Amino acid sequence: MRAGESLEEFLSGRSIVKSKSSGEKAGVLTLAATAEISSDFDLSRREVEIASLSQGIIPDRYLRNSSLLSLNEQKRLLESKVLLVGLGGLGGTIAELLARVGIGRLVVADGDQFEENNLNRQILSSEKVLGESKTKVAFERLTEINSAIHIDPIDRYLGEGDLDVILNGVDVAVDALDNFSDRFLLERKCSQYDIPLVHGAVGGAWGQVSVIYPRDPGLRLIYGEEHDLPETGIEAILGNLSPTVGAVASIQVMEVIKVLTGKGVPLRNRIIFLDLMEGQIEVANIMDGEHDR
Amino acid sequence: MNIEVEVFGSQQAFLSPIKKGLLLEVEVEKGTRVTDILDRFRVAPNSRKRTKVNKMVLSHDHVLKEGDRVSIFSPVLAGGG
Repeated sequence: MRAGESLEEFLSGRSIVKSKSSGEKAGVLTLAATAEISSDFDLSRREVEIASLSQGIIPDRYLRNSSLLSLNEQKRLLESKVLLVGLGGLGGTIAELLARVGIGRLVVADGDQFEENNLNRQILSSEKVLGESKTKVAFERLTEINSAIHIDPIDRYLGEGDLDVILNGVDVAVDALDNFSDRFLLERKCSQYDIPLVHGAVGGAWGQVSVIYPRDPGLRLIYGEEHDLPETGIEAILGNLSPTVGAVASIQVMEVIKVLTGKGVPLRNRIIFLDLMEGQIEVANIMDGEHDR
Repeated sequence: MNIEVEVFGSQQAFLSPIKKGLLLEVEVEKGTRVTDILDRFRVAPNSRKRTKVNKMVLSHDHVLKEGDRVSIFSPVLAGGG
C-alpha cells in the first residue's frame, strides 16, 4: 500500500490527456500506469481500471470504445461475469472479442484439444498449439490481450452439476456449443438461475443468433422439441467456413454488450439468420402460441 | 385457401440454381397447420425441418391463414468446433 497519497490523487496524477475518435479530449490511464498503481496499491489491474473509470479517467485500451460506450457502461462491462461454453470456432472468436471489449470476468469452458482440422476457422488454434487444451490456450491468449481481466478456464465439458456451481454470479451466458443436448441443458439451467443466454450456431455459409431470457420460448421454437431431434444434421454436409464463424461470433458478442449495458435492442424473441452465400440477412420474430398477425 | 411456400436459408444449398428463390403457391384446406405443410415437403438428408411464417418463427401447431408465406429452413447446429 502506498503511503501519503490516495488512490484518487494518484490516478489523477498519472492520467494523461488524449483525443477520442470524436476529437473530444479525455483523461486516460496507460497500461504502464495501471500496472504501477496495481502494484503500489495492492489492487488487481481490473480494480484499478474500475476505480479509474469511476473517476472519469478512461483506461487507454478502451479509448476507442468510449464513443459508443459511456464510462459507466465500460465500468459495467469490467464488473460483469460472462460464462462462455465452448471454445471452438465460435467460442474462440467470442472469447477474444469479449476480452478486447473489456468483460471483467470470463469463465471459459471446453474439454477439447486443438486438432489440425481446426486451423481453417478456430482463431485460437495455430500449428504450435495442436494437441493442447483449448482452455489452456485460451487462458494464455486472453491474458496476453488483456491482463486486467480475470479468466477462469474450465478444462472439461460442463454437466448439470457443473452448471449449478459455475452459473453462480454469472450475468450472461454464451452458447458456443455444437449439440442439442448441451444447448438445451444450458438453456434450462440459465432459466433456472435467471440468466440471459446468447445463442449462436453455424453451418457452412449459414448462421443464426438469438438472445434467450428465462421463460422465453427460445430453443424449442428454433430447433423443435428436444426429444425429436436428430443429433447429426446439415452441418455434416455443409462444413464450417471461417467467415461464417467470425460473423456469427461477432454478432453474439454485440448481444452480450447490449444485454450487459442496456444499450440498443437485443435480439430477444427474435432471431437473425445469416446467409453469407446469397448475401442475405433476415430477422424473424419468435412467437409462442397464437398471435394476431 | 392458398398459401405460399419457399425454401429458406441453408436448405437452399441443396437446390439447383433454377429452383432457388422459387415461391410455390399451394392450395390447402382451412385449418391446415404448419406441421401439415412440412409433411408434404422433403428437405435435405437428416435435416431438422423448421419454418418461418411471414417472418415469424412459430409453433408447428400454428393454424395457417390465406396468403401466409411458409419458409422452410433447417436451423444450423454447429459451434464452429
